[in-house]
Amino acid sequence: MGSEFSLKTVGVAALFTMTACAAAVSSAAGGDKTAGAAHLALTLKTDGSGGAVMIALFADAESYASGTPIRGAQAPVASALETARIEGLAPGYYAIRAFHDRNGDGELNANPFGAPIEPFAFSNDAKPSFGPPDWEAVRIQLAPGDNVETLTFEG
Amino acid sequence: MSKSSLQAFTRRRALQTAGAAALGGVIAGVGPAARAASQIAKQPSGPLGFNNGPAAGMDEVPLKRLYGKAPAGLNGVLYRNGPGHFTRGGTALGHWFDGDGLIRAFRINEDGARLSARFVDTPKRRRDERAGAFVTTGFGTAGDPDAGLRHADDANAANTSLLMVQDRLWALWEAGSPFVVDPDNLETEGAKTLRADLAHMPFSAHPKIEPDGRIWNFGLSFGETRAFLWRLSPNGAVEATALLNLPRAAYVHDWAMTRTKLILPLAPWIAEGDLPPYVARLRWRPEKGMKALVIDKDDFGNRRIYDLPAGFLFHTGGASEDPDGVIRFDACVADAPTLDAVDGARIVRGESMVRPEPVAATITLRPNGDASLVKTPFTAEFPQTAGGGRDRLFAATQGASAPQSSYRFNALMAIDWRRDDRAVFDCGSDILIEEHLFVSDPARRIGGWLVGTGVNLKEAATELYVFDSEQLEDGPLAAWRAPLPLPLGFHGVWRA
Repeated sequence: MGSEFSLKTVGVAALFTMTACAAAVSSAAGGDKTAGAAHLALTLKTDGSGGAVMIALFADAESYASGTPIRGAQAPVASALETARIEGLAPGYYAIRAFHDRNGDGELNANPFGAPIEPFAFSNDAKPSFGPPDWEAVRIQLAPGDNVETLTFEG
Repeated sequence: MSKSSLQAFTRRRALQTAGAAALGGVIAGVGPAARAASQIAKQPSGPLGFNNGPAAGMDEVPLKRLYGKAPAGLNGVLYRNGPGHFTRGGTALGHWFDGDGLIRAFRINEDGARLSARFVDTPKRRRDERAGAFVTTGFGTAGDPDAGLRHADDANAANTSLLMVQDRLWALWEAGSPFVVDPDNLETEGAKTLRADLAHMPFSAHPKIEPDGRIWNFGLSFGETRAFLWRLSPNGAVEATALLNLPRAAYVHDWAMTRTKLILPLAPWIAEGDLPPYVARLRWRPEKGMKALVIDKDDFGNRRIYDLPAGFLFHTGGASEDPDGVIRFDACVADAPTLDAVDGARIVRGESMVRPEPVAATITLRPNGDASLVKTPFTAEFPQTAGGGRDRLFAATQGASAPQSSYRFNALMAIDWRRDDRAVFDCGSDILIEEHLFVSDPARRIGGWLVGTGVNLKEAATELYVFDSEQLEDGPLAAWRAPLPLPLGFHGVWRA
C-alpha cells in the first residue's frame, strides 16, 4: 500500500493500465446507434497545452477496479476546451478515468516515486481520496439519448 | 556554565545605555509596532511559541532595541521558517510539523533591526483556510480523506527550512517541492518543479552545500524503503539524480556530507502499517539499532551500510573525513524519538510532558566497518557549524533553570572539540531559544556571530539576538524585541 504522506493518491499503476486499453478499444468506438441507446458528449477542460486526452469508460465496479474499460476514446488538445463523444451505449451506470497526455507519448507519466505528473480527471468530478476515488464516487448514470459530462483536468 | 542570565544582562545593558538614542529607538517603534500588534489578537491563540502567527502576514516594523548594536560587518537578513498556524475552528493541529510555513525576515544593519513576516501561500494553506479546519493530511495530522489531494505538493506546508538559490528563497518541506518566495516582499511565487519529469518529488529540508555552491539533497518516499538523491548546480539546475534503496523504512530528517561521501543516518524509527497519518505508523525499534548508509558522491552505486547502537536524531552538525577514510559527524542524539505522534500533538497544546533529551554526540564510521556513537552529557538541538567543518558545534541547549514550556531550550552552547572546551550562555527561565546561525566575520580569521531568535515568555514577545561566537558566555552583543510573540520556528538562512 502507498503512503499517504508521499501521496501517491491516484493509484498510478491502475491508471497506466487504462492507457493500453484506451488505445486498443478506441478504434472500436462507433457503436450501437439503435433507438434506446445512450450517447455521451464529453466536454474536456485542460490547460490547452497540446497533446491529447485519453479516455477510458468502465461499465461496472469490477472493471473499474481492475482497469478494464469497455470503451476508449482520444481527443487531440488544441485549445482549453475540447469535446469527445462516445455513442451507442446501453443505458445504465458508467465511470470515466482520463488523463491529459501532454507530451503525446500515450502514457500517463509519473515521477520516480510513482506520482502522476500529467493532469487527470474522473467522471462526476470525483477527486482522489488517498487513492483513486471509488466506484460510488465516480459513477454517472446514462439515460437513453444524449448525455453530457464535463471532465476537468488538474495536476 | 555561565552564571549570568539574559534577564539580568538585559537589565544591566539597558541601564548602561538608557540615553536619548535608546529612548528614541523605542519611541520611533511605537507607531508601526502598535499597528503590528493590532494584527494579532490580544490574547495569543495558544501557548506562547505555539500561537497562530498573523494570518495576513506582517508588514515591516522596526524592532525595539533592548541594548547593544549590530556589530560592524553584520549587515544582512536572517530569514526563518517554521510552522505558524496551530488552531482552526477550535481544533488544534495534529502535530507541530504540520503548521503552515511562516517566513520571518529579520533585517539587521547599523541602524537597527526590522521584522516582516508572511505565510507561504500554499494549496494546503488555501484549502485549510477555506474549510476552516485542518483537512489536509500531513506528518501527524490525519486530515480529511476527501480533501482531494492529487500529489505531495497539494499537502506541502513549506514550513521547515529555507535555502537561498541565486536571488530567490526556497521554502523547504520534506515530502514535496520547494516553494519559491520573493526574499524582498516574502510573496510566494509557487512550487518549484526542478525538472518536468521530477515534479512533486521530495526535496527535503536539509540540503548540503559544497564550497563551490553545488547543492546536494535527498527526499524520502515516506513509509517506504526508497529515497531520491539530488545534485543541483549553484543556480538550482538538476545535474544528477539517483534512486536509493534503503535497508529500512526509517524516517530521516537530516543527513551529513563529507568531501567524498553522503551519509544518511537511519534511526530505528520505522514505518509499519498504512493508516494515516505518517507519524502514527512509525514504531520505535531500538533492538534494531541505528544504521548509516554511506554513498560515494562520485559513484552513487558505491554504497555501504554501517551498524550503530540505537539512537534517534533529527539533526546533524558538522562532518569530516580523514585521509585514511574515517568519517565523523556530529548529531543531536536522543534515546528515543523526541517528537512522536503523541508529543508532537501535545506540544502545540502546551501540555507538559517528559520528552527524551537530545544530546551532542559524534558518530564515527571506519573503513574496517567499525562504527561508534559517543554521546556527551550536554543537551543540544538545532546544531550549527562554523562553515561546515567539525571543529566546533553551536547549538541550543537547556540552561540551569528550565523554561516553563515543553520546548526545553533556553540557552546557547558552543563546543570546541579540539580544545575539549565548552561555553554556555543561559538566558534564564523566561526565554525560549530558537536556532542561532553562525555568520562569519569577514574581519576575523576565526569567529563570527551567532544570530538568532527567542520567545520571551514574560514579555510575550519574539526577540532577536546577536552573540559573538568566541565570547558566547558574555551574552548577546545586541538584542531587539518584536511587538508580538511569533510562534517558535525551525530553521533559517542568513543573506548578507
